[in-house]
Amino acid sequence: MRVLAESYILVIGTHIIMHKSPTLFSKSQLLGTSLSALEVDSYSMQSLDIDANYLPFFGQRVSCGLFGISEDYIEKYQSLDSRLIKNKSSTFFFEASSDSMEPLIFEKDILVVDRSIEEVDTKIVVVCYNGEMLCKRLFKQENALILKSENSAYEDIVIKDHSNVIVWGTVVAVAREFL
Amino acid sequence: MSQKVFALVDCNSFFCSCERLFRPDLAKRPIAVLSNNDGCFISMTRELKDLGLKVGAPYFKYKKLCEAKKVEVFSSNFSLYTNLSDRVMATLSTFAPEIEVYSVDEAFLDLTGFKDPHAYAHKIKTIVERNTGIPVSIGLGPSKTTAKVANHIAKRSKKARGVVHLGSKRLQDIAFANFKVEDIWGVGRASARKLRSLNIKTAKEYRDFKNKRLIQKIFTKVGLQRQEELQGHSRFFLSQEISKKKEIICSRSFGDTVCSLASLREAVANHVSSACEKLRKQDSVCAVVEVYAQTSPHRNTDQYYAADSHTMLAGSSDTRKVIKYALGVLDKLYKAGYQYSKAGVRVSKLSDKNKSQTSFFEKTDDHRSDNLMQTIDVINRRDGPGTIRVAACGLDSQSWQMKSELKSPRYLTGWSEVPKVG
Repeated sequence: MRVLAESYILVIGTHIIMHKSPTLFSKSQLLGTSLSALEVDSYSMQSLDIDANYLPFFGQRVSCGLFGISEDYIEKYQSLDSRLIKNKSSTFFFEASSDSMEPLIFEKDILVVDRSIEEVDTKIVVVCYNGEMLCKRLFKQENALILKSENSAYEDIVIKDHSNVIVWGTVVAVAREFL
Repeated sequence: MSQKVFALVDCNSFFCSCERLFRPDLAKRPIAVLSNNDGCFISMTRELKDLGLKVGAPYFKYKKLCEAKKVEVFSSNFSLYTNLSDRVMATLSTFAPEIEVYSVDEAFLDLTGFKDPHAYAHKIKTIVERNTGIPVSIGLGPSKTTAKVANHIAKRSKKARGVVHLGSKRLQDIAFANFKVEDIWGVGRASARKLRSLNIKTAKEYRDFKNKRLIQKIFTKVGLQRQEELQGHSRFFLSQEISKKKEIICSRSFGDTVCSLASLREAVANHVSSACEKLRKQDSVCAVVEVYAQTSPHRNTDQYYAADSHTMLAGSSDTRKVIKYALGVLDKLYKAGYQYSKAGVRVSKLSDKNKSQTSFFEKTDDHRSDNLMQTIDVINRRDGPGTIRVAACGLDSQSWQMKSELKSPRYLTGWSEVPKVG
C-alpha cells in the first residue's frame, strides 16, 4: 500500500481508505463494507451517488502511518435538508413566480412546503384556488377563508365557497440564492 | 393465536393521481396515462373505466373518444411516479411493524393485534392522502387473499369511503358470493377456465369446494393454500426481501418503424446496456442473451418475427461482451425489406456474480472489467443514463427512440422543472 503524506485515513473493519480530501470520507465510509481494494481511484469515489448528508465525518487529520483514529470524533455534516425538512415524504419544493408575497418571498425563491402540517390558520400556504396554485397567508374566519398577499398592491381574496379551494401544503421555509 | 389481520393499501389510479398532484385544474377532469412510446393506456381514472375503456387498450383507437370527452392524456413520467411511490411507502411503513411493498402502488401491512383495524385503516388513508397527495383504498382481512378482495370492493363501493374490512364470516359470505374467480389474487386466465369447468364461478364457491384433493391435483399446493386463505387462514406471509430477478427483459417499440440493420443494432446495443446495468445492480451475471425483432402486427405490412439466443460458457455482466454476442445474434436473424416496429433483449440463466461458474474455455469478467463497469454505472447514475456508453449504442438522437410527446414536467427530480406558484 502506498501511503501519501498527510493523507486522511479511514479505517472500516479491515479496510483502509485514504485520500487527500476530507470530504470524501463520508462517501467512502459507505463504500467501505464492500471495498477490498486499498487504493481507491479518487474519481470513482467522488462520483458515487450517495447521500452524504447523514453520514459521519471523521474530522481528524493524521500523519501517515498512524492508524489510531478514535471514533469519538465522528460528527455529522451540517445539512440544510436536515434543518429545513422535518418530514421527508411530505415535503415538496415550489418556486415563487410572482411578487405578491414581497417583501417576505421574492420571485425565484424556493419554497419548502410540508403537507403534513395540520394547523394552517395564519400560516403561509400553497393553495389551489380556481385551478391555480397560489402562495398566500391564510386566515380562517367563521364563514370564509381569506387569502392575503404580503404585497399591498394585491387585494385580499375572500372565499365563501370552499368547494373550489384546497390547501395544498404549508410553507415552512424559503431558500434564496444571492449569487 | 389470535387471528391475523392484513391490510392491502392500493393507490387509486396511481399514475393519474401523480399527474393530478401539481395540476389542480385537472381535479375534476378524466386523466389517462400512456405506456412507453405512447402505445396503450396504462392508467386511467374511474370515469374512463366506466366508459368501457380498459387498461392495455391501444391509444390510437380511442384518440377521438379522448378528445371528445376532454380527457387529459399523458405520456408516462416514471421518475415522478417512482418518487411519489417512495413517499407513499415511507409513510405507510410508519403505521405497521411489517410492510411488504408489493408493487409501485400497492403494499401489504400486517395489522394483527391492533384494537380497531377498520378505524386505524381510515386514519392511515387520511394521513397518506394528506402527506403525499395520493388517494388510496384499503382492504382488510384475515389473509392476504381476502385483503385483496376487500380492496377490490373498497375501490368500487361509495359507501365504504375507501376502506373495507372483511373481518367476519357474514361479510366474507356476501363479498365472496359476488366475486368472480378470475378476479381472485393469483388466479390466471387458464386457472379461471379450469375452475369454471369444475363449476366454480365465484370466490365463495372456490372457498366452499369440498374436494380438496382435486384442488391440489389441478392447482397444486398453491391452489389449496389459496382456498385456505379464502377460508380465513393466513397461508401467504409478508415477504420483505426483494428477490433477485431471474431474467431481465429490455424491449421497446420504436418511435417510427426501422428498416436498416444499423438502426436495429443501435437499439439492441442500448437494450443490452440497460439490461447489463440492471444485472450489475443485483450482482448477477447472465449466461444467455436472447434477441428478438418484429414488425408491427397492427400495421398492414409484411410480417416478420425472429428470435434467437447465444449461450456463453462463463456468465457475464460486462456490457461490451454481451453486446458483442447480442449483435452477432441480431446479424443472423435480420432480414432486409421489413419495417421493424420493435426489438428486444432478454438475458437469462442468471447467477450470483461471486458464485458463478468459471469456464476453462471462456474468461469470466476480470477485475479490470468490473472496475470499468462500476465506474460507468456511477457516472451514468450521477450525470444521467447514457452519459458514458458503448459506441455501438450510437452517438446522437436515434430514430428508434421512443415517443413521449405528452410528458409532464419532472416536478420532483430536477430544479429546472420545479412547480411554480403565483
